[in-house]
Amino acid sequence: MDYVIWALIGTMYGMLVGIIPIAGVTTALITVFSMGTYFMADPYLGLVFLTAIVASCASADSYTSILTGIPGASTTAACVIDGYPMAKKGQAARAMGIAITDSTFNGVIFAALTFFLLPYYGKIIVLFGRPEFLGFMMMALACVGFVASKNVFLSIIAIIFGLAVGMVGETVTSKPRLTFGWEYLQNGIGMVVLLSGLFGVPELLDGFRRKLKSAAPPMDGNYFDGLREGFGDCKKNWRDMARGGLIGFVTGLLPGVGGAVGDFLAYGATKAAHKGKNQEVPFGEGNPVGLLGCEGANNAQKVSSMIPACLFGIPAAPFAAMVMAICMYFGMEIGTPDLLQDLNFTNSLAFGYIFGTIGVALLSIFCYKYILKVLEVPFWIYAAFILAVIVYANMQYTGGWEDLALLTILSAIGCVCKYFNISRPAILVAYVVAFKIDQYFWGTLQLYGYKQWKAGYAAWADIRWLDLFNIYNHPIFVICIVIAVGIFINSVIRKDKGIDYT
Amino acid sequence: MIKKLLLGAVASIFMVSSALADYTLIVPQAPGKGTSVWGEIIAKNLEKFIGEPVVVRHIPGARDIPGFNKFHKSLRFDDKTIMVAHGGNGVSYLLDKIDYNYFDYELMGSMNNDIVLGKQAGKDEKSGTWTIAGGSGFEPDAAAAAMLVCGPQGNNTIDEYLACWRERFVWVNGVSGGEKRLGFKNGEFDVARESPAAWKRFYTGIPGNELWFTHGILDLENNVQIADPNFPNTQFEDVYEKLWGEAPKGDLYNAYKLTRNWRDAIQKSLWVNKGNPNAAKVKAAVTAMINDPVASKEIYAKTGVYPWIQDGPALLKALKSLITEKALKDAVKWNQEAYGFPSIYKPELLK
Repeated sequence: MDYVIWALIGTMYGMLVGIIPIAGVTTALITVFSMGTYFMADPYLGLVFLTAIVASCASADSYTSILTGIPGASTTAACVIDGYPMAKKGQAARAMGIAITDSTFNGVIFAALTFFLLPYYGKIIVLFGRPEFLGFMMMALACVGFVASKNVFLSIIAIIFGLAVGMVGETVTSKPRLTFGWEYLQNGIGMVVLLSGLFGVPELLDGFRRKLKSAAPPMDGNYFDGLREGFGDCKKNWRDMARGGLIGFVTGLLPGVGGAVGDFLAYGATKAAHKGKNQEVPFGEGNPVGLLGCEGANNAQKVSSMIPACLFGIPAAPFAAMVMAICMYFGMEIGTPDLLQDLNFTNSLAFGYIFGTIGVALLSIFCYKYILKVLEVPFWIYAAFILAVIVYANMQYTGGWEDLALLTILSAIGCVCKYFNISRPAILVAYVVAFKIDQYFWGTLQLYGYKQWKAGYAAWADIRWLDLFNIYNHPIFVICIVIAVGIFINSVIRKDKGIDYT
Repeated sequence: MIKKLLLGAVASIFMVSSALADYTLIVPQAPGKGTSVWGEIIAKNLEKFIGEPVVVRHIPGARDIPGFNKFHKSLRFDDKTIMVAHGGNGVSYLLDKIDYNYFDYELMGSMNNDIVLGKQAGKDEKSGTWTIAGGSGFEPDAAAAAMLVCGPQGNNTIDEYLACWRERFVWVNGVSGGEKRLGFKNGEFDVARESPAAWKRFYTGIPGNELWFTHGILDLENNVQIADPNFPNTQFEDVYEKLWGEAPKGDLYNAYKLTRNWRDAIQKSLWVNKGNPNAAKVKAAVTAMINDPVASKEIYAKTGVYPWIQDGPALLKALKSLITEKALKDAVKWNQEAYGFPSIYKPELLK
């Protein structure tokens, strides 16, 4: 009975944090870290509580993205692209129906695949070395073209800016880069402050400017009819839903990739799959297919992120690092064969995650009016609260004035981007992959003969290029590079590409 | 609109200020990282013995330096602020441009820790190329690996070891701990590096790897490095002598000893400002925490069972004795030329 009670508490808490814009799973887990002592007597109980939080928060993050246009967390930023325009058109219930079905479908399916087959997944991740990670990141970067705007010039600005922001910090040899002498920037620009600045604050200020009465747009028609329409969309387009989940699942397996990459890859893939087909609504303007193509990726990614963490002790995403840290706090030896053979461990993970996924879906269906009540609070109260949460979240980094200064700078940039229709999703994707590409690029070169102490051409001439690009040695790397080049050329050449969600 | 924005700002200030509590542990890392987790465990347990709330404040930054700098410049003057430092801070003290200075603080307690190195099973030191991954700062372990693979050189100068390093090693820097672990498991890297607790957690009983060597731990009473009781017969000096028939010596060895002890002996440590009126109270609480079986069990679950050092002056004296002009300059040269990291020679450390 304790397990059910704590799974329920975890589900409700995760849902609450998930609904708060910007606060995601990592924030939720950090806030319960201090509860670790309670679970020392029965760590499996703590595991159920944690995974229920992860599952419910992952779903609730999407609801916020759809209803308010402010990403519930970075991993659901792609849901904003079509979800929020749907809500603005009065189709919030339909969008919620899609989100609930997609999250539940992908959450449950991939949780079962993950936890019950956990011991078998080790072989996939071991295939990835530096070159393979580099290839995958190049593929992710190429997908930026799918979320850039139609204006090529503005798209290039967005991509270059995103890459530059991602490169801020230190080089792989610990030399300051793009810090402009500001020591604070040497640790890079964090995801939370970037999202707050690019999406959160500009939307709030825009709301003030337009004197919004409510953060959630009004809904047309009966709520349950809208939900049913959303369920129908999912049934009709189940392939897009499954594809999104699968992409999220694979992305979550790769250490450090996680985050927004899976969602945007899924979104890009959905758009590519419907190329040339007549759409009810264009992508980026409230297309239900666009929403269901990426919505479930987040849930699948969350669950698959647990695989490298459980198998190798390698966190695939920040929240997975928190789960690992809490598990280690519980005294569980994450990454050991003994733990994988512990049925209580895998069963606790599976129970918590599936309970959280289904629980939050039911809560969302039957408590939707309460969610809306929260969102119907006059905008300035809601926005003041959100602003406080955003500032508080960003102040958690160092607690110093620099946190506020960076938030202010990025918010100003976010407002400029919004005003001039510079694609903020493109900035986000470029930012996510920039540092990783740099890191894997140099790592790959070093492995294949680049000697950093040699200057000039000699260092490059030493690289064993033929070994590196040999398809028999590195099939994953070569295939990823070919796909990346193809995607990039396609996205640049075709003029009808691009999403006008900017 | 301005009034509404002001309301938001006031709410923000309230939320931030409400997070402030009595004793604060300053951790120079983001939540979830190794020292952060250790800091959380310490905060929770210390609270019981200090009798007042203890909270953790994270001040992350490049190579975990900005948090410690901030402690030095301003936070240390708060009588209820305690700095949580780790081994990387010790190495940065020797090689990086930093503001903090251990000699301005009082040691409340330091875990005298060790590092474990593994290698691919059967890999022969005397032949072939070795691929080794590093993070973002000086790694004494890689220097030790270089000595084991290269063996005695003509005059054992740093230049001779650098020449051997360039010939026998492939160095990949900027690799995180988790990626190193994966790279070792898929054979991309030949060497694994872990804390003792992580080694037991991730590598014990897994085929394909073998424990190569450990640094050992500092015997403060006699000021010598001794074998780690958790990993007997694995200390670097012993492994080297067994392999090459003589004890390690020379420039790189001295640079290794310097950086090894400045990192491992203060691997996880707690400091307050010199003259802090609460120092005795905090130190007594730390002592009580160390002696408490429940608290120590939780701490050792994270770090492995290692002795604490609370005699700050003796520890700093022992560490200071390792600083010589030659060792310092050689450590700087090795860091720059073998690893490619920026570092500076600081003559003021010799004073």
